[in-house]
Amino acid sequence: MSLDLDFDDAQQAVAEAVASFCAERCPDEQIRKGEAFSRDLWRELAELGVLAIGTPEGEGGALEQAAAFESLGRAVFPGPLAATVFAVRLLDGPEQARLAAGEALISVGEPPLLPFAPLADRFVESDGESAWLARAEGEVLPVSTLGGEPWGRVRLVRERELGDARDALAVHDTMLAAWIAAAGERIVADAAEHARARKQFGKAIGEFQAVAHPLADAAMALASARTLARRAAWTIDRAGLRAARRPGAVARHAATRAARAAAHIAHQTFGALGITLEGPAFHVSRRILQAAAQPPGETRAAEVALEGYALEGCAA
Amino acid sequence: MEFGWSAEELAYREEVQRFLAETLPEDWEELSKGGPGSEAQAAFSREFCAKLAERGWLTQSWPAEYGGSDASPWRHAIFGEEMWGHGEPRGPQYMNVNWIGPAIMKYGTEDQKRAHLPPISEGRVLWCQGFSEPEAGSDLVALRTAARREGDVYLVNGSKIWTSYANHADFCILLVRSDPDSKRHRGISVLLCPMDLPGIEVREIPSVVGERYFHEVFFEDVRVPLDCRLGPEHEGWDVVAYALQFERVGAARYHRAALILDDLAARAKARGVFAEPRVREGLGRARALCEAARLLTYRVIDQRVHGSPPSADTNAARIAATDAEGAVADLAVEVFGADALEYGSWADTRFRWAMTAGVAVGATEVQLNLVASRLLGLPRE
Repeated sequence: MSLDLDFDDAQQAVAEAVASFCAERCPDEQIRKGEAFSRDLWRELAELGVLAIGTPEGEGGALEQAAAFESLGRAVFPGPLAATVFAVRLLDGPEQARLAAGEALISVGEPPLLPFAPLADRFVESDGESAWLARAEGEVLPVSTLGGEPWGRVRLVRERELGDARDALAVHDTMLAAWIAAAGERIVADAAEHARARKQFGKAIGEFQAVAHPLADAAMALASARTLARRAAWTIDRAGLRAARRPGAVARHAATRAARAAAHIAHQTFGALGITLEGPAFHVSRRILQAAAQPPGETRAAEVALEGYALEGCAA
Repeated sequence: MEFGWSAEELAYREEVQRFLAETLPEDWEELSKGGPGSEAQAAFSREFCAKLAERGWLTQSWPAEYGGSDASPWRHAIFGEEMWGHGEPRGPQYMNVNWIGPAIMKYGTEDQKRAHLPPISEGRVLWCQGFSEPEAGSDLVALRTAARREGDVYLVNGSKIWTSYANHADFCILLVRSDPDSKRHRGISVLLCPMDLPGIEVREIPSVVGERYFHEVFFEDVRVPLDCRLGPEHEGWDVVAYALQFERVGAARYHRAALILDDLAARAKARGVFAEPRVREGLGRARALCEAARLLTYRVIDQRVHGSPPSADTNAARIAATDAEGAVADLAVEVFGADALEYGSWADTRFRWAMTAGVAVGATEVQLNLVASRLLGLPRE
């Protein structure tokens, strides 16, 4: 069999099921108000099996998970999505099962500033290379963030070493890339719709190349990033986590760059409208910016992308 | 979904690599520096392409009835990657295989097919493309070179510019305005014009890349037989649109960029700058761009395999390849610093060639226009 870059029927079905779940349970109006996340919603998402992939109970592979994350990204679905996928790959037994079932909420990163800390049941301290299971000591100081996620300042006490985190990071990076590329494509599609409708100087602003070209450039870079994420997921399924470290890092690096640029261009297209709190762009761009700076390992992606240069090239 | 090559395809790539290792002369690196338009490389291509033809590789993607073996687009892509990865030893002949031949298959008469397809599939003919004119570059449909019917010939007057390989070409696939009262897309015809007809003059335009890369071609009362017209009279634009879909991803520039990047990483190590953060950041970024360009091109091939109609994904892939090549060349200059400025040095050569990427086969801005209108549905000015 030669290359084939389409999702198969099963992967397509996952993408559609997750998309309709998002449309029903997490509609745009709610996202815009910044009130979308709840523990109930998180459990319902977990019931779809999206977080359990890679556990003994899980069904499907990384490609199914990437298909789901693309749909989640397009809906800018809230919650510690990539962090959970990361922790699920590091833990086992009942701890893993509770995370995969959406019963426990995880916070992953490096203290003191940690995502979802005020809501988290468990903590994983990780720089993307090593990881420890940890608990909070003392009070969690809530921090509100650009992306609208509940973060917190906290002191962690390491409980147990979880070992090398780089394989888990491959899954994390792959799914984060799928989510963020799709979120980027969503904001470009929204901006393009605006550019078709909004008239200035007697014509649609999309007729001006100063508006059209940056959007076209963004669409191209995001399509690249989405395909790179799919390739990383395929690598996980076909060759295992270790082999996917570099493709995962490449996908993440490409996706965060492309989506950040797309968010900027979308705001330029929407003008002042985009700067309003409940307007057409901010509820998506804020999440893109937040996800793009997400721990663990956001500073390491470009480095990991270089891995293997001593041994093999990127040509084949 | 499948991102991996089959065992058969991997074996084929190795076979092509082995063949290249055996066939390319020892001084190929030096010989190919002048680019595919150079005297040395054009001459070499005739000999080299005949060898490819003997193995049935040159036009393997063509249907069997025209001298091919109906090879899959993937196999053709592997072959193209290896050719570009090795400095394109086919010289100008990659154009014949990728789109001139297919255009003749689709639009040619039986006589034209008999006359032109065998020499192409046997690797013994060079073509050039007479598209751009001084007043018709990105706006190709502004072309004015006139072809007036006179008895059994078209009388051609006008000039073409930026024509690569014109000095060596046996034929030119020539765009002319056959209806003098027409405007824009209508009234254009395509001629398969022999380059040895009286009244054709070729002048070299010195360029920053290689020798004899650019030419100006003048036509003065050139008598081109009517039966040299490809496709219906005045409807040549459809022929061009068909051909260009093949051309934009025909050259595996992404593959060459990726190989150059590998080489650059090794050279950065040798110079002791590999560990510098700016170099590592640049290498990581360029690598991601190379892989992105490769996968976008594969999407286009995948669509062709699935029989989907050509889309603006082709243009997006071309933009991605240009970005990748540019990033690699910029990095080369950064790694080599002042040494990069020396004429003919490794970095200098890469940088000069990267300058052509955003201009050849349609400026990046034109590709962006097509992505904006076709993929994003934005209105055209």
